[in-house]
Amino acid sequence: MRYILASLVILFLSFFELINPVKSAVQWTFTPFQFGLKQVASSTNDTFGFFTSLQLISRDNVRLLEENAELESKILELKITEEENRTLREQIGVKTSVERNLTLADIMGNAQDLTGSSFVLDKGSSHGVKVGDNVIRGNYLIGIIREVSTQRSLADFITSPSSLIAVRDIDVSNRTEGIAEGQHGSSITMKRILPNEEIKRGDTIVTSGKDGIYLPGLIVGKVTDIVEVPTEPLKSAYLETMIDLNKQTKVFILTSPAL
Amino acid sequence: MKKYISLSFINIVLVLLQTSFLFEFFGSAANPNIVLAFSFSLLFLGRKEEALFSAFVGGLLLDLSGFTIPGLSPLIFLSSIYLGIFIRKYIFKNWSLQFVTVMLSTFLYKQFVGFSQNLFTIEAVTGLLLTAFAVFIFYLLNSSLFRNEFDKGRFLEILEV
Repeated sequence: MRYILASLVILFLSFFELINPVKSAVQWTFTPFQFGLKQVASSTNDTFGFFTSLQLISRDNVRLLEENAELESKILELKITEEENRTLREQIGVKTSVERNLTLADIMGNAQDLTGSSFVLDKGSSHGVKVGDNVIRGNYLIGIIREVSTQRSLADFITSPSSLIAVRDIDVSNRTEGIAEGQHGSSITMKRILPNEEIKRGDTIVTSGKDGIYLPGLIVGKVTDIVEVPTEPLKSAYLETMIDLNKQTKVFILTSPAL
Repeated sequence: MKKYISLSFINIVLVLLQTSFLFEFFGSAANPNIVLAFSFSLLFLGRKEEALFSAFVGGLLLDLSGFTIPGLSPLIFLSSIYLGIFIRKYIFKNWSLQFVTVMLSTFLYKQFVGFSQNLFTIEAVTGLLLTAFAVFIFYLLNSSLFRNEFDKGRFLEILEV
């Protein structure tokens, strides 16, 4: 019974955060081993995956080559627009970008979350990470920091049901707005779209920044389906993330978002 | 004292494997609970004290290395071991019922710590079966590879080397 008692004492102490120094020490010791082992498992998994899906890779390669050609032409168009934009900004004296501190972090799944909607990062409060910091990869929004300890932080994926993000459609002229809510897996639902607002399949949805939680302009996903129920006043749409959230190994934490 | 240090070391390795290597392979739902499996294997070998200590240390390390409330996992693990002891002592020693205890404990632990609405998915059932399989493997390792040493009470001393 002494072990039960010891567990109860630890449980009691943890409510007053008296266990935190021990937790920090354990996490500091475990972090390199856990992330190292994760890396080894990930590489082994990838090697097996490569040999078992050669046919799929070949098909994907053809598709990606086509997409690449299409994107190259779009990049050219964007470069011209960027040049024009820069000239206009210089002309009216607007700052070109917001100051952001990016902290590179290794990502690892949260073994104790059965829903798979959260992940662990190897950076904590000692690296300047705070609750509410955005986690990104390139321009893609990955998640948000939910809990922080000195050595690590716990974050929710944007597909987590607890994630509510103010978003907008950048592919339509009237910039349709809504609220994106995670649905587990790689699916997100964009809700509260006004009936007269335009939205179509394939549109890119980004954060609007109106919630004051997520920085504006980060890519959330692509529209895969639109749901219009005649008896309901508002529309909704299904989104799919454009990158595989579970396959990310390194991400950036926006440690000082200038909101 | 030596056996407690050895058990702590084994549990550190198991926690590291469970939370990183195995998690990457099996995902959260199908990930076997090898920490609990190791404790149960000790219990099935009649090492009650070692099983309880292992459950306490393993559970605590899981909590400290993750984001669950420290003290919660050891409490659930210890309750599971006591349930196992109770069944062995007062009901019967049939192996199948003991494996059911292992799977039930794993299931309850997963629900307590990482609540899931999908209770009976293929992944969840795989996780339970893998845990039971891990108990079997640990049992074989402990009892056949180190049978003589174990009987003489030197098993844990050997592992320490």
